[in-house]
Amino acid sequence: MFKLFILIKVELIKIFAKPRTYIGFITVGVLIPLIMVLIRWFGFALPEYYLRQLSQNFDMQGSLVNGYLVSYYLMSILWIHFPFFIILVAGDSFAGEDSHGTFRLLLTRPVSRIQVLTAKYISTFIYTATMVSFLGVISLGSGNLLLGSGDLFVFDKGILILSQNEAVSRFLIAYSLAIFVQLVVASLAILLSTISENPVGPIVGSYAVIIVSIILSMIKVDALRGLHPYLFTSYFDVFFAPFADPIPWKEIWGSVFALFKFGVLFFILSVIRFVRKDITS
Amino acid sequence: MKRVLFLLILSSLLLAQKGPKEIVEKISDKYKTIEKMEMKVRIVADIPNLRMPEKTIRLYYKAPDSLKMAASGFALLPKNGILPFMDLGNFVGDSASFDTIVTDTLNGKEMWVFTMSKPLTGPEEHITFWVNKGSEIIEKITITNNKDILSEISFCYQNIDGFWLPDTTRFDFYMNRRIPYALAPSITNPFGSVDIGSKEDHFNNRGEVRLIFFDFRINP
Repeated sequence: MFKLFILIKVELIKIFAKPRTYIGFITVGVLIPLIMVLIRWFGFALPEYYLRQLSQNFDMQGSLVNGYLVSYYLMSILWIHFPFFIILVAGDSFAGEDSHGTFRLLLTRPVSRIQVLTAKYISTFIYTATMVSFLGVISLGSGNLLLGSGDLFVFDKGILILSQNEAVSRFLIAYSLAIFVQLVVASLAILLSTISENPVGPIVGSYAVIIVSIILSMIKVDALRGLHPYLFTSYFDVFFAPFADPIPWKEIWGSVFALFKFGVLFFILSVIRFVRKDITS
Repeated sequence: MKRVLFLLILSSLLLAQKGPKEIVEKISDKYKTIEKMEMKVRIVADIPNLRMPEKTIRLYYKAPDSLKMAASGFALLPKNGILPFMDLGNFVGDSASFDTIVTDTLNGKEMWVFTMSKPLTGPEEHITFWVNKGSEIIEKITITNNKDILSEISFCYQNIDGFWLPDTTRFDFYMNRRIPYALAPSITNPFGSVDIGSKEDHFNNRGEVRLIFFDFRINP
């Protein structure tokens, strides 16, 4: 167990020593506050558009355009764009060692291949959780700082306005689920990384798999409907589920369990591949 | 002789009959001593395709017609009918003219009913007041066009320091178009899907907002 901790520590040092690890942090750290500044300057007419029917009879006090609303909208980047930052690191975990020729040196240590794989998995998961948490902190933090806080305006069978306290708890659940979704993305990238000897392959491959799966999940064709439960991207939207009233826990747990199964499948396939892998570099 | 007697009875009846403007002035006079007033209002909305939490706000009234709201977060407050005595001042200007007063019953109580013929917000909109004959307070206000009731405001009162002030106000209203039926973002609709409906959709376009008043402070 102690060896595993050492391995995880070493893997984390490796991850955070690489410049590519910071691409996601820098992008999120610059882009999200910039979006908040632009919204502060130029406004965001969305709630007014949907509630304009009420303006004839009602005065509306307080703005619904606040840090929570923009953070909610920015969660949409978690579908396609954000996984890139996860894949960039996870796809490099095994293939990077292969391409640098450091695997043989690593595996001469008195640790099993499963321990190495588990350490790489856990360290990549730590990076993934940190990255998603960073997105949450920057999004909510800069949003509240620049646009203020208040009630949260969301879509849920019409318009749903959640009180500020409710909004905070919903975001906590949503970001926890987003971490879980991105862990599955990381697992896929690690699996492809065990197969390839060059990091470009798993990075491009994982991203291609996600985009193709999302396209297949999005297309509303009867012939493809039967395929949807077998696409892990069909459960990607679980992090929007907490913004409903009442929270659909059954649906959430169903999606979490489905994603868990995909994660376990990717892990098992990674183990099979890595244990049998012929290390030539 | 009969003709003289008839004219005497008619003229005395006409003198005894209150005109709408007199009623309106009488109601307004009752509240003239209120210079400032603070109150809390709990707002409960029941609007199709819109769910929002109950909200308690603080209202500040300053005579004759200033009303300010302090709320944390988002709140909806009807434009008319919050304080009926204040609305009278807003609705009834010098140019306002009324239809003839009629007597009607509302919830078993006798009412004076009169309609303002002065258009309010549109060329075809009219406002009708139901005034309790006994207590001389406004029980209901309706705003109509030639076809429909656009909004209806019903009042329940409580007596605070000798003033009949709103206890619960029910505001039923009509929307030209319903609030859009929007679905949450999902993998099939990344930014959510919205059904705005057509102008001809006449379902889900009536809503209700209740205002529950408490914690009044008159001339603090």
